[in-house]
Amino acid sequence: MAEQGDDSTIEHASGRFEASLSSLAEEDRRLLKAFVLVSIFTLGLGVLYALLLVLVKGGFLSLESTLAYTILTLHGTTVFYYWLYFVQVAVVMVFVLVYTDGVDELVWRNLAWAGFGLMSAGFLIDQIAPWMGAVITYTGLAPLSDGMPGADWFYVGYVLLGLGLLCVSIPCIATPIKAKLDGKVESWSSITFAATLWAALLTVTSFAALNVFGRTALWALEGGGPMDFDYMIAYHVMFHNMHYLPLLSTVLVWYALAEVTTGVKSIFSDRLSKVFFAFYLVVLPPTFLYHMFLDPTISALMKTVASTLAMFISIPTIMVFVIILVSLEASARVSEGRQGLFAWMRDLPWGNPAFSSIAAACVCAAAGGVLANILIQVKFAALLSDTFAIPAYFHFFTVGTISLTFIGLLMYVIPILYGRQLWNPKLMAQLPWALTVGVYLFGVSGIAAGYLGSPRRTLAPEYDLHASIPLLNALVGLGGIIMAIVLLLFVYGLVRTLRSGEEAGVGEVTANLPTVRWEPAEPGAVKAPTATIVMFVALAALFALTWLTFSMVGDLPG
Amino acid sequence: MSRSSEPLGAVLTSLSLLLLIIPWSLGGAYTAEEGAGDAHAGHGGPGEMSAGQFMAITILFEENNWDADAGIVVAPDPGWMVMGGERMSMNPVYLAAYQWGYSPAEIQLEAGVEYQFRMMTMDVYHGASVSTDSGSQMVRLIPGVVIEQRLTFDEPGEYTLYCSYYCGEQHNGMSGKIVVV
Repeated sequence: MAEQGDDSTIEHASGRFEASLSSLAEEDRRLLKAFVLVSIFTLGLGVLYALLLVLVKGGFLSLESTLAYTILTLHGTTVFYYWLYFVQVAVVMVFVLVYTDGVDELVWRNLAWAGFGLMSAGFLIDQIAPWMGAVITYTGLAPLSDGMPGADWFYVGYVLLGLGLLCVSIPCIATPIKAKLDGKVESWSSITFAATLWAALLTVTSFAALNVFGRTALWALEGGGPMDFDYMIAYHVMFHNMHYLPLLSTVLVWYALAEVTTGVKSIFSDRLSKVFFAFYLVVLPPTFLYHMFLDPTISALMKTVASTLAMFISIPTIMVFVIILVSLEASARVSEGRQGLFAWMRDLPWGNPAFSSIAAACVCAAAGGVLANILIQVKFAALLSDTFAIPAYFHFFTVGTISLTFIGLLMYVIPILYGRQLWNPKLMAQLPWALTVGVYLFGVSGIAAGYLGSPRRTLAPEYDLHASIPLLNALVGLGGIIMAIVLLLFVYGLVRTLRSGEEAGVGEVTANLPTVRWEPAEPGAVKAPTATIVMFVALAALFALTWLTFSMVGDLPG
Repeated sequence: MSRSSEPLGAVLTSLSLLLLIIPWSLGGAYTAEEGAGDAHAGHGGPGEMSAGQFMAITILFEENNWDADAGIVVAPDPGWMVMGGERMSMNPVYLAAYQWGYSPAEIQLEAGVEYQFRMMTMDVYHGASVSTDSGSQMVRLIPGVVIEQRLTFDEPGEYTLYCSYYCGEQHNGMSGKIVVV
């Protein structure tokens, strides 16, 4: 979403985005293509692993235990660390290059290529190491890995990933800074600001990754034995940022795609958006301890502080969502003159697959956000930590919100980079809603199973738990199958686009993606009652569901 | 919401979220207890002991509570003492976890009696969670740390004790049994 004051409203934002991305230096386009291609490959591979896992979880397929946990390790590693980071680097590079005035090429591009090489090498190693015997989940559990063949290589793969991320983060920071120092841009756009912020946080996180995985790799290479540091604390310091960075970049994509698909600019000030983006940097790092509420070695005071601080994390996400929603509603009412509470929503570009992706992502984020608010509170640890409720909850975010949002942006980026129109946009516009159905079925069933005691990272327990769990697991499996099929269809559609999509000239590539052309609302010209109501309903739901969960804690068995 | 009311709306929304903290804090939502891994039923704290020492005590516990017909049968506690302000059982239940089982693998307890469990892993992270009809109590065992938890089983029956923390390739089968009579 561009800033107010941008006077290029004659041409549609979609066309401006296409023209800007098309005009990048050929070397930058090649780099972006490399990241995009590998990200699609990692997504497809990770989803194939997931398909096997949900078949086992649902009771539809039986796999030997070692094989099943090898695939679980591969799934988490492939989708969380490699899909999400290859695609995010591509997204942030696109934003830095397209949304920063005066930038004509990526600074220190060779360093970014080195990062790509290191990340790719890490990916290959981490695909092989689990087959060698490092069956330690994507967390790389130590000291469980002590003596496991391939464990040392597994950590070396993660070290290369950390080095690679460090290498790519630096050009993403240097490029907009150089434009500023050269006087080519007076003030960064909100998107440039947030993309640079993301890269800065990635730099810090890369060092945290090198700290934990470097030390663990050395420990494993030296033959294991007693560890001289607490792996789980060091891991969660790194992991906490690693799993919130995608949320920041997701919100950023919403911000950009809302404008690309509707032409609507933020009706709020530039500074307001920047403040909320910057808020992530303040609230994320100190809250990592909420991952360790079941760890009795962490003091009660530390857990209390972490639990309290974690409450703040939802604020920037909700506020950026509100900025987008209010801007869309106010501009729609001005442009279309619609009356009534919801009539304006009919005019949104639902047939645009990128728009439907971010819309469905918001529907998934609503459930994920409410559940997150419950799970970060220390009192609930005894009820839900280490149960399947955790993966059931986080798939609302990792699949339904984050991955879907990035796929939405790829539906613009890939056609533009390859000069080919998106394959079957009508089908691609429906897929996000099918994915949402799968995510909700998987998530709700999984949380219910978790509440009844179904443990996480346990694929086919050989003992009896609550009588309802097998049925709930079958529903989890069904939801997971829907998710996997839809994601594979996305991958197929994107690959089909770049291989054999209809060739089109600059300005025509995205012409088959329907958009609306709304004029930005003038200050004070119109009110946005729907957005206001949605905001307060969301807050009321947050209060009510948290209160409900409090009452559930009182009913814990004992 | 017009642009002119933008700052007010943003501030109000932020404040409404922040205000959640007050009632939740008063309700104790953010207040962790020492040894929060003990779940709600226990109020004891973790202690430190070597795995070998703990195993030796566990073997002694098994010998002292061995019944030729029913296996490990733990009689109701003869009494509780107070040490350092903490209630301590005179006859705690010892449970050692290892790849991939528990020692003892089966324990018989009496319904309606409060027992103090002392648990420890002998190798890697494990879980010692208990499944009941209305859900489960999740317990995580961390190398080098003794976890204490007080449990009362109100209803007779068989309860599954299971590992809820991935501990290696045979994690699927790591379980035990608590028989309540």
